[in-house]
Amino acid sequence: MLNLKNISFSYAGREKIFDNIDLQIDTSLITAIAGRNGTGKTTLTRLIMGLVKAKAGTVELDGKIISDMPSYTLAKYIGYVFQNPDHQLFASTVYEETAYAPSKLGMNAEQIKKNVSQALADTGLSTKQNFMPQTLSLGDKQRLSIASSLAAAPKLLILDEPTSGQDCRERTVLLRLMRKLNKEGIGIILVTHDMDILAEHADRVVVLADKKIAFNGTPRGLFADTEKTTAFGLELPEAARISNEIGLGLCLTPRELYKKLAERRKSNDSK
Amino acid sequence: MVKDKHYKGSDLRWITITTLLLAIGVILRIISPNVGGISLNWNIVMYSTAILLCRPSLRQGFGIGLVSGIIATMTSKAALPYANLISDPAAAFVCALLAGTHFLDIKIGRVRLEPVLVIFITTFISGGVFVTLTKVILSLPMPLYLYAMMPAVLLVAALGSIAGQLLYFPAAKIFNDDNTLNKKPFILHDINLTVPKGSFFIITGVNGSGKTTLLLSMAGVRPSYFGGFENSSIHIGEFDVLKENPALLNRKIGVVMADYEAQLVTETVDDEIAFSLENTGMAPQDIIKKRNDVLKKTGLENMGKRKVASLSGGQKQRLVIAAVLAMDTPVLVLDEPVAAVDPEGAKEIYSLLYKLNKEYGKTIIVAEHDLKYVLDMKAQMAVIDKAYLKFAGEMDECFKYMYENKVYPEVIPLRWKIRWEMEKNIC
Repeated sequence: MLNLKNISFSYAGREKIFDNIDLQIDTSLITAIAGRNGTGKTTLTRLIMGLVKAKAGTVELDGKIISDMPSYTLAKYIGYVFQNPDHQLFASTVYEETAYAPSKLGMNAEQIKKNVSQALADTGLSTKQNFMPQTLSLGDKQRLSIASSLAAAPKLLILDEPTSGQDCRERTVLLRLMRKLNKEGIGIILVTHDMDILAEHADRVVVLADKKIAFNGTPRGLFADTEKTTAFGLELPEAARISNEIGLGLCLTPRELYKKLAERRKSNDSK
Repeated sequence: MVKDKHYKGSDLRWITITTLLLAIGVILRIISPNVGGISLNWNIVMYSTAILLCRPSLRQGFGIGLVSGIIATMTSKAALPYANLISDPAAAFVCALLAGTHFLDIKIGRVRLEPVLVIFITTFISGGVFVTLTKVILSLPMPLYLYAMMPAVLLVAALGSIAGQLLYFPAAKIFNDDNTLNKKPFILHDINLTVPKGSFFIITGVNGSGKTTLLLSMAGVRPSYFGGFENSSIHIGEFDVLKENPALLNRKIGVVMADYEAQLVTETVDDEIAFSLENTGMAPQDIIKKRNDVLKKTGLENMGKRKVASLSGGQKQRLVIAAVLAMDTPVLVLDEPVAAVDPEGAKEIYSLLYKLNKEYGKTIIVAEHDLKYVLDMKAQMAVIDKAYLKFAGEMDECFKYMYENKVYPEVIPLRWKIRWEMEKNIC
């Protein structure tokens, strides 16, 4: 359980971004963070990761206060994947890149090797471990960023817009990986603009607006209220929009939509 | 029509490889030990290797030999250094001939023997011509020529060919020899595409299918180290993209790359727009006029003094578009213009592009795989799959084709799929 208590934050000389917020995130789930541009989605994850420090309040992970830990110590508990993978890739091979965090965290050679090969296998990069990170495709780079976080064996993984710039196929691979990691017990915090992804993959959604947590619940709970969703500056997922238009009730995913369509067809046939 | 294949090296490739290897050869020749007046002729070994790697034309081969000959003349301590000016070009010419015709491309088992054979012959010809000229011009005695000079030539040729054979394989690995280049498949294959003037054209396909290559080809960005086009032509109106001077192209076609950061070079918004205009030699007052015009068109007015670094992703992307617009090209190509932009910014960019197309008559070509922003436009679309152009036409027809033929169906918007699903049920 990740617990943010009475957090207030502002960048130097600017308006407050968070004003005394409380937030609990269940770290066994996939939690999405959504909101308009500039509401502090990325800042919130940076606060959790200790990359910026709150003016007031504490962050606790499983009862341990982490807000006063430096972020390099935090790397043991939390992995952070930047929106632009180029911001965090610097080693000359995929293997070295992945081995960097565990070696800096003082793991022994055997442990490093085990973690790295596990992380590379999980992310499907085993065959590319001698490649130069800069030569990989964007999708591969993104997964490499995830691998290098995973190698430190974190409890929580923060993904900031992990699918930007990728095509449908790469996106599917990445989201599948995310779910697999979550099943294996790693909590996921996903910052995303893409409501289709949010609706399909997130268990919980936190919406930021007006320096506050404006919503904290399930995606279904959020999208059931179209007016509220729009007021937050969010769009309905495409499936929900279509299902509303053709009167099928709220469908969050294409799969649900197809299913409801099939059901309606059946009931029409029986009539 | 665009056709692209990585095959034989272009000018830059053979020049680079030969220069590098020849330079190494000269250094090795200067520092290698001289035993009884005989030393390994590294120049020849190196340029033969280079010729084998690039298989240049006979004329180019002759040129390589001439350069090597001049270097040898200047560095040689032989009795008649000027003989190098004849012996080296002659040998390099023969070497290019042998390499070009693949005459000695023989294998025993898995080992290619071409390097050892060709380098032996080349070195022998060069040495033979050299000592013969020396003998004739300096009227040296016959026995010296037959029993000392010729055996020395043979020895040097034998040593050189062994060194060459050993050097060839790492060199081939570093520079990719001709044989591996030839095996590379087409990146774009047999593509025939006409983009009507003033249209909004979307090119879609999986990442790696060749979208970007196609776009960049149109913009004249073409491989100059490896490969190039085979039996291809690209025209913008009357303008022949592949034949004309690439520097003239920036008046015909504007390029916006996927990574806008890569395209922004100055500190402030104003400077960014002025940059390309200054390069064309435009007068300052005209630049200011033009700049105000494009900033207004792209919704960036009053931002002229802003630092580029302080702009949001969407604003940066619009700035790139503004800078390209300033060049007044009739065609704009954009490679995934919203890939790194948030949804609000993405919508703005597409409505800007739409406006540029409708109000200012620009032909807009976009590579895109996130199609939710272009659905409402009356656009034309083409889909590329593994180097082949599968379909080009109206957007809805293209979606239909992709749906029915299972070409990258993931990208088809859900709305379309559901509509077809429902139509099927009613029938």
